[in-house]
Amino acid sequence: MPRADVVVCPECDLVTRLPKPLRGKRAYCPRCGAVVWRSGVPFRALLPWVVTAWVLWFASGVQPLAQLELFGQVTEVTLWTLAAALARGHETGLAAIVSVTTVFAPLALLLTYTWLLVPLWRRRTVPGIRLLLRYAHWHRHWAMLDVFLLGVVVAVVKLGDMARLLPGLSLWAFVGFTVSLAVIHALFDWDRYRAEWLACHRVS
Amino acid sequence: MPPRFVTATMLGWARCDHCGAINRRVTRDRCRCAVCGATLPRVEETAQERRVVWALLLAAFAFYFPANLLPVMTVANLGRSEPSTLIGGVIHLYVVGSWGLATIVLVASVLIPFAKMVVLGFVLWVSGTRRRRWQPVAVRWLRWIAWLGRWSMVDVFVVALLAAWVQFGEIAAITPGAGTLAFAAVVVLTMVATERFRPRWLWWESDFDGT
Ligand SMILES: [Zn+2]
Ligand SMILES: [Zn+2]
Repeated sequence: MPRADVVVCPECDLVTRLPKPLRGKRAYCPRCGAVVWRSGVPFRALLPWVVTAWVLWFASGVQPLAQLELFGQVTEVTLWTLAAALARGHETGLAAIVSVTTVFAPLALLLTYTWLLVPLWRRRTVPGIRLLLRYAHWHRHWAMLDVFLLGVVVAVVKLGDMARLLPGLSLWAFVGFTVSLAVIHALFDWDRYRAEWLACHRVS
Repeated sequence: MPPRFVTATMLGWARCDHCGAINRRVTRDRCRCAVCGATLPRVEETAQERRVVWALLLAAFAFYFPANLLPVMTVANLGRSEPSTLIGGVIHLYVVGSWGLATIVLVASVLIPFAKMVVLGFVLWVSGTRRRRWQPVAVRWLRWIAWLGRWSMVDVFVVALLAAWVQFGEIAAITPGAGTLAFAAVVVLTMVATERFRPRWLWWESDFDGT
């Protein structure tokens, strides 16, 4: 491995040395302006967020996101049954897209972050870390919780005068889950993770 | 004349696109990342990879027309069923008088997806030429579309939610139309194309000119 303060720009391939001392939250590539370094937190600090995210994930799925009432009739949909409801109406393509972006990719992302922390805690490596390092960016890309939340807001506005909408507790849990995943993502320092994991890897 | 910039490729290094690890002494036989095992990027494969991105972009463009012409959903209300297209929805909002919302929908679902494809085409074209004048513009616009990309998915989620919620049999029911699936295809294909476009293609040409 090259020296720790030498970085390669992810966008333009430029080799630079990080300024010393490192100040602020980010360092940018002098040629193209891409982020080449982000400040992180110790991995221990991520644990409460991971636990919170798990709790909120279960809470957001078991109850309806909202109930819709029209002339005394009520329909409700939970996050986990949304895709199933679409599939029942023979909308398999739409069901696939919705389930991947709002259920499977976020869950895979949370599982990834959780499993990545295990070797640091046990001080020895566990199987699958290589694979997770390789595909973590894929889950990050396709987990579209924030976009889905905007979709909920737009759908509520559109329904406005047509029917009465009662938001459920799960909707707030879902907002919390989205925020905690975003926090974990923002605080996770991949460069330091690779270094610490390689150290554990060599010991075991 | 020594080059003004030193890049990883010049040193025989490669930064892994998947995990970000810096690999040294990369050769034709040693082209896998030491940390995660992914295949490392190589200059020789640029032309091939650029063709893949062009193909994805053209596919996205092909889906853009059915996305705008086919109904995105059908609203059945007390026995009457009305298919609505993206453009039809915008016109309806204008007629009703909500100019603000109509403009937002027009920009978010019709203009932005189109602009994204035009920008990606432009950036791809710049990466194949040596027009260094356009480099900074291309870099900035590429970041914009990479950030915007996923937000176009909103329309797909709205239709999915409405279709799942509004199921009151005879009184009111919403069914998604083929337009939504085509629209989702546009968003997914442009996202994949943007992800597979490597910003370093914009720099490699000039790196090897030694300027
Ligand atoms: Zn750069
Ligand atoms: Zn790697």
